[in-house]
Amino acid sequence: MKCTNCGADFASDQLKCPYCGRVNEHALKLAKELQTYDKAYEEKRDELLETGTGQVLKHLTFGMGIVFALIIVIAFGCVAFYQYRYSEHSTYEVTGARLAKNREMIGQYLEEKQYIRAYLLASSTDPTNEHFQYYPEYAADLSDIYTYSLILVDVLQSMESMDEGDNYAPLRDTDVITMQIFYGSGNESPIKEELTQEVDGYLKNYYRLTDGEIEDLKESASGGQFTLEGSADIEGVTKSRMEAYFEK
Amino acid sequence: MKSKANSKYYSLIVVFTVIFFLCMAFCFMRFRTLSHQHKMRSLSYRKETIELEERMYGSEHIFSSLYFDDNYEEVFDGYWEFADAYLAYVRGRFSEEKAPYIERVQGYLDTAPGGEREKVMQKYLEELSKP
Repeated sequence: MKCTNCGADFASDQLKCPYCGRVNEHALKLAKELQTYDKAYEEKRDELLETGTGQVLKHLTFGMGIVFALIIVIAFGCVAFYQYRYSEHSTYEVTGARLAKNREMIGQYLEEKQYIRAYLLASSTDPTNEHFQYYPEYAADLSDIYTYSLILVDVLQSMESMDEGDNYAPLRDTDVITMQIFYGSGNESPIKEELTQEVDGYLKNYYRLTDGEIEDLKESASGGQFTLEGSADIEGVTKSRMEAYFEK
Repeated sequence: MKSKANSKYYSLIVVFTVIFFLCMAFCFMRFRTLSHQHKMRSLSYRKETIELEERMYGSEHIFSSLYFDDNYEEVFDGYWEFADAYLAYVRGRFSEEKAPYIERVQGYLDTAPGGEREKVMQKYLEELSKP
């Protein structure tokens, strides 16, 4: 372009004439416009970036929320299923054909006089924990067998202690309460009668109670007072009797 | 304002991630507990346990193992036969009339599979048969 002052030719993008130094108004105007445009471009770019990032974050958050929620639901579902199928008090064992099979086996064990085995099957598969609600036809007998099993285990442990030469494990207050519960259950089935005879035998021949004392125990209420030889020290009295008898 | 919106999303992402890992940790711990319980109550584990206890403590403890580990299944039939005879011995030991219990123990010995259990039951029979 030509300089308006000296008429010399110079490049149109130069801000001043290289010969006379006159300011190139046109180039100056263009430079200012370019600066304004650059600034506006940067602002717009930042705005678009911000908006774009926001969109991406929004979709990412939404997507993560859905995926995480899905995985959590599946995980909880698997845990819930595993809990239902394999937990200690699951109702899985007492549904449908399994319940029918359990009832059949309990009946069979009771018939074969495997009372404790019948009780173990019922208690292991009954999620109501010792109330035998799933086996109502056997509930009374199973409840008595449970109490009887506690008595039997105490006798066996006591006998083992005696055989190993340790101190005699006599009748304790807690054993008396268990026996009172056993005798006072109100069930009059043949199984209860058989178990009662056995428990009577342990009381008489092992713990050395007399027939009269056994009858007193049967008549005493659960948790009620029971004495031997006028003493509430059941443990001391039975221990001395056991020592006197077994060390003969 | 736009920074606030983005920081809101960042916060949500962090919260979701934390909740996710907490839930996964809970599920993992629960699953591990259930797995452990299942393993302890599995038939194979209980069978190994009763065999080990018999080797360690003798046949006299078979009934205790059956009772405390809820071993009622058919796979324990042999152990229950021994336990029934053992309980007959215990009842006979503290009974005035021993004949029915001697007969019961003898019945077990007639069909016993042999081994340590038969020796133990033989010992019980001899004890019951003493005058």
